[in-house]
Amino acid sequence: MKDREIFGAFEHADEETIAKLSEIPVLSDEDKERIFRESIRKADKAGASEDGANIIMMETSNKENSGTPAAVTAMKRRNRAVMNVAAACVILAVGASMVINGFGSFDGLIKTSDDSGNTASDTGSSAEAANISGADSNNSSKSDTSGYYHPYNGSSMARRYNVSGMSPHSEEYISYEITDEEQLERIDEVLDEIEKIKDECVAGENSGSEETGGFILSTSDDIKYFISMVGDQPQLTINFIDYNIPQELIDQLMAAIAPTATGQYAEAMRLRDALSTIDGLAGGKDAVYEEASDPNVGEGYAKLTGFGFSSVSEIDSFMRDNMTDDFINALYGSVVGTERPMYTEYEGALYIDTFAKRDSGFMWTETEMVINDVTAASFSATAEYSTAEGGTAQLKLYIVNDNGVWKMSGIEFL
Amino acid sequence: MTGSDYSALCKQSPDKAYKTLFDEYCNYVYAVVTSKLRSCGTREDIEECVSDIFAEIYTKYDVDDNYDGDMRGYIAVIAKRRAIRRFHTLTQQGLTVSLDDENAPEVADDRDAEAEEKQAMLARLLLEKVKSLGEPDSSIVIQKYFYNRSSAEIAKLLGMNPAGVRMRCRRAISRLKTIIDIKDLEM
Repeated sequence: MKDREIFGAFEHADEETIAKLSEIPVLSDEDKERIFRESIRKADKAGASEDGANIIMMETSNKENSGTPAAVTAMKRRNRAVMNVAAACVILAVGASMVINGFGSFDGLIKTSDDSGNTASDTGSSAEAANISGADSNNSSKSDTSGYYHPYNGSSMARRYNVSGMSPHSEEYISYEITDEEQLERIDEVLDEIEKIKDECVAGENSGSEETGGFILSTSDDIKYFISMVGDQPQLTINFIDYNIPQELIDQLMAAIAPTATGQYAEAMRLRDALSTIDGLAGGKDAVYEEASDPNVGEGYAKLTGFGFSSVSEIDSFMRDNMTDDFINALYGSVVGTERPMYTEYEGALYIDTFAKRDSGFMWTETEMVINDVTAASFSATAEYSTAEGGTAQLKLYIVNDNGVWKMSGIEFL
Repeated sequence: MTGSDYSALCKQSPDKAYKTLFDEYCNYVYAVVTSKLRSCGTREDIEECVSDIFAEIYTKYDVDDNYDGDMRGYIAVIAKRRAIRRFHTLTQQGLTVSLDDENAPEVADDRDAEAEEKQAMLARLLLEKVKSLGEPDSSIVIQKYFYNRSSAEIAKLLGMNPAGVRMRCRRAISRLKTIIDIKDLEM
């Protein structure tokens, strides 16, 4: 009997056993927060979809005749809670069904990920040869740990902004703070314009019932701008009142918010280049070394004569500056860290394991990267590279904020 | 948390009520769902099912019903029902068969109540033995073999080294095998 099969008995565990099993912690705070947000989103969706039925039940309200009066009463209460200005509840409920896709210029910088493809392509990279994706291990850590509501009370600035929302495709929550002064000014300008005309643009009742997604721009002084799609048109809701703001102004607002991703773009560029260097290191790309191996160091180890790095610690440091420890261990642990590392030192000189030399590195194309899944703690970037066969393929970099430094935590061949 | 506690909290602040309920029963619901889906579902399936369950509770629980008992019973029913439904979806076992279907007479309930009761008993016994391994070994074993967590994830959760987790797990399983009768579990 295999080890795992021993535990098959738990499939029929009774309540008492389940209760005891649940005492063992298994979910991190981030996992819990993510599941909670999702449950709220679904509850809201369920409430909205049953809204019509509820109204019918209310019109014929008759507890004696109704089959399930208690359930109807309960649903009515929840709907009321959603419709009322119960701020946090609405933020939770609405924020959970939001989308970034399809919003004019914003679309160019932030796109949701497409989970459909996950097959290895045909590059000669060391990473791909290893056929390891760090993506899975990072999915769980991509959630926004800072929550769904971010008032910036006490800020020294007149007004700060935070953007939060969720894509229906990837169902990944995004959240980030806008701190760039110029960008803050641009947003202020557009919002001033909107505030001036909004009273003339109040939308009719139930105008938001067809909404398909959106996100919230929340301010430090507690104003929530909820931008959603109603049919094909974006609509603005300010503190729970719907407005038919002219398209042009909403486009301007979207454009003003979009550059938030540019900071991530620069980091992604840096890390993309670092990945190519490290992958090249893993395969000994561009290494120039003496022909004969040195028996004092080990069979196959040859002294490097021309190389960009001069010591093992320098290589190690470069890798750790750009990748998380887990990612290095998963994919590039053999560069300097195993019993037979790719690089080792002997009497102050750097040696390479010529037996392990192979094609490696990435040849990036000119195609711009696309930044996805932006949160305060992580984001991803999709880059295109040339394959050995002359085609192109895409690679997704998972990037996390590791104690204030953006580092790669995984990659995925799309 | 009793039903009336939840109702009172709900009337005060639905958000607070949902969060409190979730915090209190999240691990329990997760365990219920894992027990049903661990053989056929991914972690994402389990999480999705857990969020479905809580969404159903938020929307369906009658807050006017002043039920003084623990909410766990109510939650357990919803959780099991949802998890079993998801199990059928994942294993593509239809829940309904048309009587006009020519194969209908051959469709029989393949559940064996006696065997399931025995499995439940074995699960109790197994958990007891696992617990007897002591901490952190019992937690490591449960997380690895019941919740299907990797050594790295367990290490992170318990503040340990992944290699240390692997080593402890291996030894714990060896010890477990010496204190349980494998033949019982194979039945």
